[in-house]
Amino acid sequence: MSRTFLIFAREYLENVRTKAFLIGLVLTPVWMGLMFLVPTLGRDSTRSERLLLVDDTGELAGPLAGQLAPLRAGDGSARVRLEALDPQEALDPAALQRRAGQGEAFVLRLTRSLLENKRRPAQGEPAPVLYGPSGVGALEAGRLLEQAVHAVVNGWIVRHSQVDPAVAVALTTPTVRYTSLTEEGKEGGPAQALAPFLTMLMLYLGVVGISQMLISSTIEEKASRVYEVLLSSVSPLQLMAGKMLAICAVGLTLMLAWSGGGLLTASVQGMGGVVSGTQAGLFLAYYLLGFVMIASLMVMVGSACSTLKEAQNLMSPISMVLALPLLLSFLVMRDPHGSAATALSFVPLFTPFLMMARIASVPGPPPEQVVASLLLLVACTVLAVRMAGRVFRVGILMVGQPATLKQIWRWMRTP
Amino acid sequence: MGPADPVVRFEQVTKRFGTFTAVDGISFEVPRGCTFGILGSNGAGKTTSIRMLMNIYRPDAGVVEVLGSRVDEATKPRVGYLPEERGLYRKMRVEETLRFFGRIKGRDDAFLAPRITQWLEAMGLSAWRHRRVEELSKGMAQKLQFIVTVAHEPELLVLDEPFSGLDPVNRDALRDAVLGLKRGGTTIVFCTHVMEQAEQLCDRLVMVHRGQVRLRGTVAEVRASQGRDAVRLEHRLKPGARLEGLPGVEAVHDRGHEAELTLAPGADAAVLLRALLERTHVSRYELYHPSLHEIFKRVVAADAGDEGEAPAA
Repeated sequence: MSRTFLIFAREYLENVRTKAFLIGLVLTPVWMGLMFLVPTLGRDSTRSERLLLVDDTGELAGPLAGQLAPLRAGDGSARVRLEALDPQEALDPAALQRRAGQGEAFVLRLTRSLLENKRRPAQGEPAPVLYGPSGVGALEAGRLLEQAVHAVVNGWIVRHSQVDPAVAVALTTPTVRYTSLTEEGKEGGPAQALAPFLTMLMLYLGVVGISQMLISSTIEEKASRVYEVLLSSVSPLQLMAGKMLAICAVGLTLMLAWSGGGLLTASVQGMGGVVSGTQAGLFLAYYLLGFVMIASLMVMVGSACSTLKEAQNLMSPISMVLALPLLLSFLVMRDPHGSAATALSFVPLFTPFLMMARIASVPGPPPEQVVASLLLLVACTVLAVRMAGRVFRVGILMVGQPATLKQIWRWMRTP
Repeated sequence: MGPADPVVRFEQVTKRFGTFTAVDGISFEVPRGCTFGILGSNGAGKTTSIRMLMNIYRPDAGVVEVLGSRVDEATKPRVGYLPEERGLYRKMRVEETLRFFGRIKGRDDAFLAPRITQWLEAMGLSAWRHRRVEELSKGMAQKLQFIVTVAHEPELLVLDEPFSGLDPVNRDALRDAVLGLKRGGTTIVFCTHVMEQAEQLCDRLVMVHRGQVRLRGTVAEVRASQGRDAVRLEHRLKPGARLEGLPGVEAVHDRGHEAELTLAPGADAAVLLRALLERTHVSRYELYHPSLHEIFKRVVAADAGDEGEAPAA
């Protein structure tokens, strides 16, 4: 049996047998499922809201109450409890704003100007307002009230003008609805729009998150002095390759479980077909190449340090560079194939993430760019592995002080 | 490779770390079946030499041959290596550990299973077979590490400070195991700074200091090469008396009720005995060749004298 495989198998089994791994494996898809499920559950848990109304028109309170009456809260009570406000109280708008801001009630003022085709209020004339507290929960109720007021005011204007009600309905109905499609021409929905970012995020978590396990694993084994025993049987390169591929496989196992869970949930939610076979294949290629390239950096850090604290210090600048793809991803989201996104996707450390985000966009990048990026990654990965191998073979036998950058640079250049 | 060919050959081997030369043109040969000692103080270059022997470090100059060829990955499975810094996977179970390291040396389960049982029994670890390594005491872990080194039946055994940190009982158990392997014909390269152990176990040796070989040969040859005799003494000092300043004595290695006195050239042993009887109650007085310990101290002292530095600890 290959010695590298034996190292690989031991490392892989050690990691996947841990409780933390099994918990992560099971709980993450559950968590992803809950992300979809919780908003659905939330729809039934809406509460009853109080609305203080100042109706300057004297005509709209009734129709508004009628409009709101059918709406029910989660417990079956009225969704909105309408209360007329004393007009005297309306004379102090700042006090009203405070009451709304403190969450006591929503405050609505309907003015005469609304009935005059929603004209702009004159100087000194009160303007129509709808106040409510900040917070995510209030936003939904706020939108509900907006729609109700909109319907009531529009209805009044149509009834009191010469406009044919059918024409009014036609004018307020959207003319054409935008639909985003997958490459197969199927309706993509919101998941399709989010696909580039989600794909990149998943790849990023898999590569950058999981490869960091190599730092702690290398330092731990360095501290346990097991390396010298192993090096009496295997070469440093075999040892490093076995460890690196094992952690890579751990990440792959997690991601297969997670993406399987994610895709299953998406298809249950009617958002299937978000990822094509080609995209899945390219995802795997970018994952493997990106993982080995970045894992090489982690191995260098782990073997050059003796404690996790030392490794954290050495990792700080590397972490900053590795965070850039996430920060720059907005460029790809805005214009996936613009010059900035294209150029950045050819910076080797960013390539796996930004190129994958571009591939998950519709349309994807030109095939020649995909091929070129893969070739670039192969070259950089080979170089990174060679450099890491040189640092690893010296670093893992070093104890005490962490290696200086000058030392690491010298090790890298020593064949 | 013929039976007369050396199992290990170092020829003008040098290893540098930056500007520091750890091993400086070392040459020696280890014959088949020999127990060979590499002796020296801490930092003398012993572990660096051993690591080059195991192809963990590459020499900057010279040739290292193991089992008849330039040392490479193919020779590693034929060698058993017990490094000075012991290390095992703490979460692994004892038997799992032995199987893993045996497989990595190219042996299958059918080969390993009976040997693992036999060695665990011999070292008193059978009851711990299914326990995790982290549950073992330090002594037990060291014995397990030794089994890891020998279970695949290597042709060459390389032991770097094998007895360090062991209590007397475990030290004897390990020494008996090493002697058993030696009787079975295994070639052993043994690295230590404890000269008494080398005297007990080694057929041949090199004494290294500051990366260079200072003395070589059999234990008897090395002792004879130093010429001056010593006296081994078991005694109880009379009140107020001291061993220093005895006639014809060049150096005193005092160990309490035991002492080793290095005689100056031409010293009269009878005169010395008379002087001793005045100062101490002598229960044993033995004229002896100098111990390796004494010889080693002389080597270090001579080196310090040459360079005006204190001897290495």
